[in-house]
Amino acid sequence: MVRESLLENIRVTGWTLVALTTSAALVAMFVTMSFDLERKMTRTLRKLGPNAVASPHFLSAEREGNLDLWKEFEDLVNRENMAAAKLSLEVVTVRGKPIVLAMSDPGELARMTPYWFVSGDRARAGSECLVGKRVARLLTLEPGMSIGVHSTSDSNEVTHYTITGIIVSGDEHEDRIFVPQLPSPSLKPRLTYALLSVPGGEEGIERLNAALHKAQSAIEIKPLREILHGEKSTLEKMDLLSSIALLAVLVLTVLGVSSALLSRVVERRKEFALLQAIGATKRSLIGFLLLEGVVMGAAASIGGFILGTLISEIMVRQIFHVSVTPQVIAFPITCMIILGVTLLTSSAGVIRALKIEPALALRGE
Amino acid sequence: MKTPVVILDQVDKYYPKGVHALREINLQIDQGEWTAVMGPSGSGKTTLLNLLDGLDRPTSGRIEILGVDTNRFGADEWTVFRREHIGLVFQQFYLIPYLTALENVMLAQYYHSMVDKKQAMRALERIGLSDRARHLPSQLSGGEQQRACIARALINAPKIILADEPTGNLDEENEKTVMDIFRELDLEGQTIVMVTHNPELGKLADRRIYLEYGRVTAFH
Repeated sequence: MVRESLLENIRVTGWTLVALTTSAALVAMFVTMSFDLERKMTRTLRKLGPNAVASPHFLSAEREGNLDLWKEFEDLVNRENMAAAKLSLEVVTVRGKPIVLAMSDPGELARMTPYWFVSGDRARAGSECLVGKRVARLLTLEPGMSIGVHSTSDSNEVTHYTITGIIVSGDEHEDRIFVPQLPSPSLKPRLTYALLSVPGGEEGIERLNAALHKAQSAIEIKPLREILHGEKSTLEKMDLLSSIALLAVLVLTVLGVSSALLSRVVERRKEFALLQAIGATKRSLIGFLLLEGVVMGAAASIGGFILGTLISEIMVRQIFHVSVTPQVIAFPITCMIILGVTLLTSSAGVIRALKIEPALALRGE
Repeated sequence: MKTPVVILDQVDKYYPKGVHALREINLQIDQGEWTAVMGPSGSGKTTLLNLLDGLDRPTSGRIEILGVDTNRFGADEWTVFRREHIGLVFQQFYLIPYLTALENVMLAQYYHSMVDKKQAMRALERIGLSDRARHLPSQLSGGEQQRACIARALINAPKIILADEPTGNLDEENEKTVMDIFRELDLEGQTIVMVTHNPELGKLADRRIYLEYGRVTAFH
């Protein structure tokens, strides 16, 4: 009877199904993205620069210079397919001033510092260097100029580099000169650390530390809290915005579907009066109307879940260039929310139906 | 000895805006009696019927049906009593438009106890509608719709049939068919209360009650 009744009032049923399916699709999208997108978003944010720094334990500092010190770390980075840039620092003399010289692989450095503004080009060859803005100002350097770097330990040894660009980073990197390789192979860096981009925020960092600890590595990874906090805050705000948008859609759905179902009850006054006349109790009427709602809600939930998952896939592919992982949990959540919305909206129709006076309705009054 | 199935004692019915639809109605209808309630439009015939089927409530007075004081009934108790003991036939048929004739009959079974398709089919056969059982009301003529409505009213073997202008929307041929069914029911001992303004149809009943301005003005 419910099926026939829904088909009889196909216009209202159709509108209600469209509204509920749209809401269900949005709920499914929201849930899918909440579960999956945060991971994808974190990966995208990780392309914006490092969120952690790795350095040897204080007690392991005496092992600095030992090549094996970083082995477990490098293995882990390769295994996890993470972006990292190792930087070795030494104090050298340039034009008579002590300057921090940083040696790093140009490719790795470029991946870790996409936020740098480089006036000129990044250094590629072994004889090229990048100069921080404050160093350039201090020594009046410009791209294309050549500088002689004197190792402090051996001031007679001079290595010449051609400046390819000036860095504007807004941080301590502006006080450094970056070279692809140290001026002297015999020169032992005072400090080596690595910039890393770790997916999964602090939990990801904890996981890596646990792996390093298990491998008895002397390297420890520390989070750059201001970055992590910023990322977390951004994701939370996105979640909040999505939640508000979803809530607004659900409220609009409740209003729209309620008025549709109310008008449906008004149109069917005689039918409900007749049902009461031939023996339907108020409880039977409530059951009948709620069952109609549940059937529409269930159909909308199934359709909406499929539609929502497809739209999520298209959107995520367009925006993040990755495939979304369908979330099974999204289905029961979508069903629960949409059935809740349906029962809420049906209750308006139920209240209206219960107020029908059969004698008046059958007389057409 | 005749057994009273309906007793109305000093029944009054007011509608909002001061309409006094029924005044001090005292009436007894006996088991197996076919009673025609007659009178001009607005005399209170349908109001009287609605008080007997519980779709409306009296403002004052007592209505006893099958020995039960119906004034104490709540809405759902009336519904249960109605589906157990009363069959309704309407002037405008009132079939559920999206159910077939057979399903409309089975709907009354569903609310009464349980669905029995064969029994519902037999009810349609009895009124000569078995060949149209699977048709929707929109595919039936007025007479066929009224016969389906009568089958629905009879399906749960009610003690009383209340019919409100059962032939009011029918042509002469169909009117005769429906009245033949009522005559047959009367011969079987069915208690029938039929509202009509047609004196010819009223003559078919065992007894006629005339209403005017909400009062019983004559019994025949």
